[in-house]
Amino acid sequence: MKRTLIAALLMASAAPAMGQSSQPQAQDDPARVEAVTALDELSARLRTLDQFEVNVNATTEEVFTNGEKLQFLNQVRYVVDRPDKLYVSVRSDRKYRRIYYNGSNLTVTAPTTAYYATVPMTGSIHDLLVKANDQFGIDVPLEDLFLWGIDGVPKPVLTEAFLVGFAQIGDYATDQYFYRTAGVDWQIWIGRDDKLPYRMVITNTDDPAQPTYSASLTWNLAPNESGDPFTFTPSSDYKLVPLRPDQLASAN
Amino acid sequence: MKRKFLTILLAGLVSTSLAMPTETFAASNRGQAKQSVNRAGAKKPQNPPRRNVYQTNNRPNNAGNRPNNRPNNNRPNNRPGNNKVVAGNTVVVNHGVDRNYHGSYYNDYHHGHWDDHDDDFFDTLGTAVAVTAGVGLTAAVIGEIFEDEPDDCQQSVHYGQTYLYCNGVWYQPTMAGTNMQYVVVEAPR
Repeated sequence: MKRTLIAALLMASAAPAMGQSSQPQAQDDPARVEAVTALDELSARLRTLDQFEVNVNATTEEVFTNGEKLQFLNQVRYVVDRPDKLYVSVRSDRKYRRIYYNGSNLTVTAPTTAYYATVPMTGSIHDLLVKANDQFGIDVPLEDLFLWGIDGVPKPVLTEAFLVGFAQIGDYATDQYFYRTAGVDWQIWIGRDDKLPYRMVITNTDDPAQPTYSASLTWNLAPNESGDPFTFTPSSDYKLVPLRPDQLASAN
Repeated sequence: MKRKFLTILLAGLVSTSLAMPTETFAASNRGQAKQSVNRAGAKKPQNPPRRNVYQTNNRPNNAGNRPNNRPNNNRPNNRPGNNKVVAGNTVVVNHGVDRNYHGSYYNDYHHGHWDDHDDDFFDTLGTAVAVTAGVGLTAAVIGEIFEDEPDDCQQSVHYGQTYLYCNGVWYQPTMAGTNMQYVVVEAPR
């Protein structure tokens, strides 16, 4: 009797969109509407941040021919000063890069081997990310933090969206949401008080092994960087190399 | 005492590498996690170089040493992201096992951290050419792209650009996306 009751309660509390048939989620499904609203609020919140620093601790996965899925660690740090200053450091055991943009120049450095490359560049952070990708094939993790809520950036077409439930992440009370679009499933844990993302899990559904990028985010909304973190001044051991334009139309 | 230890260590590593099986399993990277939902531009990212996974049951388990030994620290590449060795176009600009071995030991792991080899952690020992090419230098092809920094390089700067001169071959290091590439070039004048 007790076991049946518990089972019934568990089934009743399961996220409503799961376990259903393969019907697409209705556009006016309340669960979907709520989740879409949450994403919009998150995007709006991100747009209000003019100066901030985010530290990301993440794992990423790569899949090999026979489906071996290997996990690697990486750490990312962003320092942002809108509209047109960005510093990104992306570090893993095998690759360490720092990207500097100060509104006039884009510089990419490889600190471990002391190479750097620089090109003139102007525009907002969004412009930078577009040009860096189009012209040089450069991109940075969690670009969505800079793209969501920007006018003119197409919103992903969601085939599914719903609230998963409450999650406590350290000191922060968050709500976990699931979203699905073609090729990607993602989950965001959004802080209840501040509408900031504290965790993001991005799953590549183009590959059957579904390699996933899982990131914990730590926010600092009052960064006090000494000096200019957005301009790279090479020390004498840094060697200048050219930044190669990306000529491959669909670089693998 | 230290030198003797080092000699024994190197001898142990070299002999282990000679004991490596010739039959190897190699797999290529077929996919990876997307690190963003949206992408700013139209291009897909320049993926990290395709790499092969080397698997063996005979791998030595030396604490603090690389688990796989590298007789050849260089892999020729004809296109960024493509690790395939094209028959007839092989360039082995590195040397016999001894020298490679020594170079690999010093380049790859020291002071408690990996050197930055741009995602080149897994090596391809399955490429018969690299293993059997043996000692000596064959002609380098101008424009050929390598993903690893070659061994035994001297750096120089000409007209503001950095060049590496390694075992008779000139390279220009370049950054493609965020991946380092070493392109064989003519000697700068």
